[in-house]
Amino acid sequence: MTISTEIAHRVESLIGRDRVRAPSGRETRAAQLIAEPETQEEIGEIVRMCEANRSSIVAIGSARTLGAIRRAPADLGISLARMTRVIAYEPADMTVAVQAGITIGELNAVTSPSGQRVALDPLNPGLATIGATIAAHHAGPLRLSEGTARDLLIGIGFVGHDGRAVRGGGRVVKNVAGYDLMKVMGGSFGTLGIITEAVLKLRPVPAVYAIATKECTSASDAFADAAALNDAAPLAHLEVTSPAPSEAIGLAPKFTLLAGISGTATEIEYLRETVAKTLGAACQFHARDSADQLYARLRDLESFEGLVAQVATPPSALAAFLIEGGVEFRAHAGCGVAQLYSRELSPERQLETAKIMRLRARACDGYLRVLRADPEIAGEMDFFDTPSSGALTLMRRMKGAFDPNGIFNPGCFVDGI
Amino acid sequence: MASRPAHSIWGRKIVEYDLLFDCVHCGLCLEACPTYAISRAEMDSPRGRIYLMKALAEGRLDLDSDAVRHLDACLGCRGCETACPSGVHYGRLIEDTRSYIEGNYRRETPDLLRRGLISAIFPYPARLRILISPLRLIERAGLRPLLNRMMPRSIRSWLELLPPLASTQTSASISSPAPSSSAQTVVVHHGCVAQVLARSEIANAEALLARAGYRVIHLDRTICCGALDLHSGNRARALDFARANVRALAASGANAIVSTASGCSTAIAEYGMLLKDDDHELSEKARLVASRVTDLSNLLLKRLPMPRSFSCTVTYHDACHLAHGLGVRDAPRELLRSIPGLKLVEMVDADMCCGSAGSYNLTEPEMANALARRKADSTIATRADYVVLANPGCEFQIASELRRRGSNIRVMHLADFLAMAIRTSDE
Amino acid sequence: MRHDMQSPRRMIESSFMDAGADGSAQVDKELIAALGKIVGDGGLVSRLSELKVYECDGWTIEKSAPDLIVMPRSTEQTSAVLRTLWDRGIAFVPRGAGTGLSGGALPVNAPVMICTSRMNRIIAVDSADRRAVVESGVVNLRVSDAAREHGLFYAPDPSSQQACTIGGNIAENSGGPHTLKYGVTTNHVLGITLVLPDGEIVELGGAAEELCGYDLVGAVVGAEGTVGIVTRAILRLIRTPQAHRTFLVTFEDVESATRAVSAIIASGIVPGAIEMMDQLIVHAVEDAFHVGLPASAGAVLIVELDGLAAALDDQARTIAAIARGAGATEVRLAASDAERGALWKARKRAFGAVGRLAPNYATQDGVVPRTRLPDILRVINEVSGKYQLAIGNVFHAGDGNIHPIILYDERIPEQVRGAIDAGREILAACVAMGGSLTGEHGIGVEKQGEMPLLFSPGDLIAMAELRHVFDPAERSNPNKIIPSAGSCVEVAAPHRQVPI
Repeated sequence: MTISTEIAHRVESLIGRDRVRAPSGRETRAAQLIAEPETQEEIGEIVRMCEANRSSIVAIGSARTLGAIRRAPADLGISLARMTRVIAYEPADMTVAVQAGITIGELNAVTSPSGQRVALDPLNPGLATIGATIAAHHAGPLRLSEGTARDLLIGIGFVGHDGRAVRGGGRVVKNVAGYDLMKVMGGSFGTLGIITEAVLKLRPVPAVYAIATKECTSASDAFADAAALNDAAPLAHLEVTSPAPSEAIGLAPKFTLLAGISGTATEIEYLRETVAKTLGAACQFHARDSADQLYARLRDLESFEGLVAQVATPPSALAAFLIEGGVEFRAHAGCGVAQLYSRELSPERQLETAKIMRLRARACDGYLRVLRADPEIAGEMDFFDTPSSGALTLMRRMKGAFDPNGIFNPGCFVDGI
Repeated sequence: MASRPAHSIWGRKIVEYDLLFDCVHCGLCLEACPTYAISRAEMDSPRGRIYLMKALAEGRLDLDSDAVRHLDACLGCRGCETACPSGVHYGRLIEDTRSYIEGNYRRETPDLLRRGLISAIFPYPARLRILISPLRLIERAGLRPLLNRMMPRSIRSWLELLPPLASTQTSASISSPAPSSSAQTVVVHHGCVAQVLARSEIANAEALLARAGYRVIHLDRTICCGALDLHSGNRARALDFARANVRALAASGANAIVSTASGCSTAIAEYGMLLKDDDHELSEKARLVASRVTDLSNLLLKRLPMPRSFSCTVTYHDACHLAHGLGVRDAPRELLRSIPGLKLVEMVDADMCCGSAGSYNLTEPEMANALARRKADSTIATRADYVVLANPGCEFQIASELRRRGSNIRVMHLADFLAMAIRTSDE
Repeated sequence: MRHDMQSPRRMIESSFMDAGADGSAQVDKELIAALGKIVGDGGLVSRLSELKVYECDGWTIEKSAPDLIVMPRSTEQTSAVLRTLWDRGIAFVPRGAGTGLSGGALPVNAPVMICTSRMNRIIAVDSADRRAVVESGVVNLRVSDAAREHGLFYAPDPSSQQACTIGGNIAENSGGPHTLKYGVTTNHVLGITLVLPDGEIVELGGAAEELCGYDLVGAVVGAEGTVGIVTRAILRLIRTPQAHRTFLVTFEDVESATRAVSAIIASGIVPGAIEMMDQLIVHAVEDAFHVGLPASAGAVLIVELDGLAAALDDQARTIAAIARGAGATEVRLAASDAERGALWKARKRAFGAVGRLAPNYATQDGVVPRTRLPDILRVINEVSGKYQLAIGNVFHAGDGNIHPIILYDERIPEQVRGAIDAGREILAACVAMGGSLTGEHGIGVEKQGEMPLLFSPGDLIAMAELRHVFDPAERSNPNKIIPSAGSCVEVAAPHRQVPI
């Protein structure tokens, strides 16, 4: 604790006493001390100080991602709560430049009057900051039709290990000038620098949205329907949920297929017909408010105790993986990505379950990432899957190049990076 | 110091220098080039060859065996002209280049002999007839396979290209009405090699035209169109041939001129350009003759009484000069499609050269064979009963490769195919 | 003294003559023999007249032939070749079909060229997962051809798609008209087999959509061949839209055409493509291809809607109304697939058609925010007047990606100078408007000098660090993208294009 007191003093001297505080709630697992800078320059100063001191530093949005997986809190957390500005928004360009601390919910409130949205829908967009969504590559149901942050990010600003501000990309939707630093920072979990700014492509808010649900007697029926539906029509999203998650979002505790459709009124009419024809009489349509509410519950599904993991496989392999998996799930069918919920509470069994599921994921050319486990076993759990050895070597070099002294979120990424 | 030579310092007058500037080096021609498809090397592409021409013209390169080899390897198919967005006159460039090479480069003796032989025999039907007459006897005795086996490889491949000579008979005529007095007149140019080895194609073409209501005019004597010479750099004789043809064709007064060999019709269609520097009277005539060239399929389309039905699956191969030279692609396909019961399936890269290319398969057998294999692959993949095309050279080349594969897909000239379909249906 | 007369880049080139600098050790008989053992003698090009044709790609201003070309047929051969070069300290430059427009395949201090053209197999088309696995020398259009029977296509469609390779597309992060709706190459590459400069083969990404660790695939796409050689890729395929509506919209002037573009974007409809051609280009294209473009038009837009057949008529009506509202004099709908095909063919070959107008032309590639299109076109017009050079415009209007084509005659020195300066002025204006130096052609050698307009030294250092992760010794396509330290690179000649 003496280290953090010393750091606290230094940070206070850099940005003022009122913007340095003790962590609260989920933050306590992420960092020992929280600083709330207001500018990129302040972050630069703080990072320079940490670099000189070899103090560990992490960026914090709502502390949900790292709070769940950090083994020990970092020396210092940079909260982006005071960096939530919209830097530039020209609706007719359909792009927006923001500071990384703004949440997706806040941003959409700005763009929705123009009929536009940032088409990213991670868990609870009201809490998810743009920075965290980029850094942790969070995505939700809409990934099927809109892609992920990887596809929508066109510019990035971050603070590197020497405290300098670095920019990549730009503010235009098409741009190949220079190396793609957006891809470097995207999915890097704060291990290469602190994301301070982002420029995103916006998408039109569809005029009409509806959701079709179908209760299925088995997971394989549900996935067969999903595959047929994915071939039959372009969908906004396509999920299959196992009984417990189905129940949690207010449906019957059965294997359930949920297909979102969106577009103009004419498009919806056609899509409804196609979906109904493909799924048969058993499917049920939800429109307007009830559709929006169901979608929000589906998107924000996180209320499970126990082990939570995310699997990614080639899309056609996902069904078999889940059918034989014996765990509850929410699957983004068509994308080959699913969140797995094991209600196993015993820490040992959680370790075991994660290991087995990971082996099975690898057997079908996939990966498994653990999103949450009992804090007690955080030290033993391999939260991240390990890529091929060649790729891992490159990743180590990447870390070495961007963070030679290992100050950014150490020990919390792939293979202990 | 300057990295580019000034325009005035030319190493060689190899081609019309300004024409080289049409090429913007974009590379869109690469995949359209058959030799690039095989070797996948830039110097075997149109862009690469133009680059060689330019470097030669500017004196940045010697006319050595490497440069000549890659320029020789061009099939002259002009697939690149179709692909080119800048309107590069590639055909002219390569013809001029070849003419320059023949005048300024000393070839090795075997190469010289081979070229000399082709040049001395092919354009003259009488000579070719004499040369192959013993072969006819051997074939009649059923000994052709034996002969082929006995020959050294280089000659064997030539022999294998020859069609079964017995089948080059003119077959039974098909019914046709007497032409009305106002009927359009057509000449079928008999060419040189075609009138010896592809007689049925010519006879059937004439019969089909008659059936379609044209009055077919016969020339007393047709001579080689000159394409063979033009493509191999013998420009002087090509011009002589062209002049003779212009006089004969103009005198015939025909409204339309066709050939069953698309290389010939394309060559005639370019007489206007070729003879533009001749005296006024001849150059005018050449222009007129050139403007009257069309393809058999254009004349027959919508006019030929079609068979009632002919059930089979057909794939169509675009002869290079027909597609890239005359721009005829749809008419033959439409003709085929208009036969009830016939199913037309497209092969991959239908307009990619089969490797025949005039005498190319005789001078560049390795590349020609690679292209023939490629063409046979795409033909076989269609599972068609027939591959129909409109050039005897392609016919021999593809048939030879399919025979080697033991494939029973029949290769037929469009004229032969239509005549057969009509006869079969009429019976 | 000699060097004082030359740009730093020219200096780089002339230093190429002095062998022995790092990465440019000599190609000798022993090396040729060693590489011949790997790829076979047919896989090597070492004769002078043959090397000559490789001295430039689609960027023809600068020329430099490699000393040796190697054409491997597999990942393993590529690996063995790179290992051999690595051991001898020799740098290399990768090349696909050589259609690039920024000199990406120009050897600068790289004695050996690695040509991927013989690695051209489509290994698999997986309709269930909507993926294609291809070798990097596969031609772009061939992927869509192979996917067609499954009702799928490969979305990035650069104008050179009939010739350019997937490997080249990956290097340049290529775009094309339809990237407005579907995204550029980086959005469609899921996995890559990369041979590192030391010969190590690494598999990055895979058929799954999620990342496993850093997004190395994303870092390789667009790195312009400076991180090793991509030999294989897993590509995402897209479902072929049910239907298309393709419009040819005529305007009296460029101004109203760009107004229409902004209005269409703002309407919430995302067309597959919005392309613009101004009067000069319309004339050139019509002369060349005879597709029925209106001769009197001040500008035309090609607007293509795609998606559900049921919805397109509504959208088409909206687009037509917007266009008329912006001043369109005619809105013509392509009546058939053939007509649509002809329109696109004409559009994609527009550059070539311009080749018929003037002895030389320079194509710029810049980007502005879409709302600034009228502003940048005004600038282009002013620049054209200032330098007394005709400038045509044909571009991806929906993306704000402009391609001014500056016509000149290289035999008139003032025009050459003018073309250079005009190009620069336009680029600088793009950057000043919040845009970028290149939307799809890449930096290569062409725009190294302009990079500091867009990026700070710190940004460039971070980029160099990224490159060093893959290629610490700078053996793969050296001297590209990032200007050499401390120098503002002089561009010695116009931005494209002296026809050979």
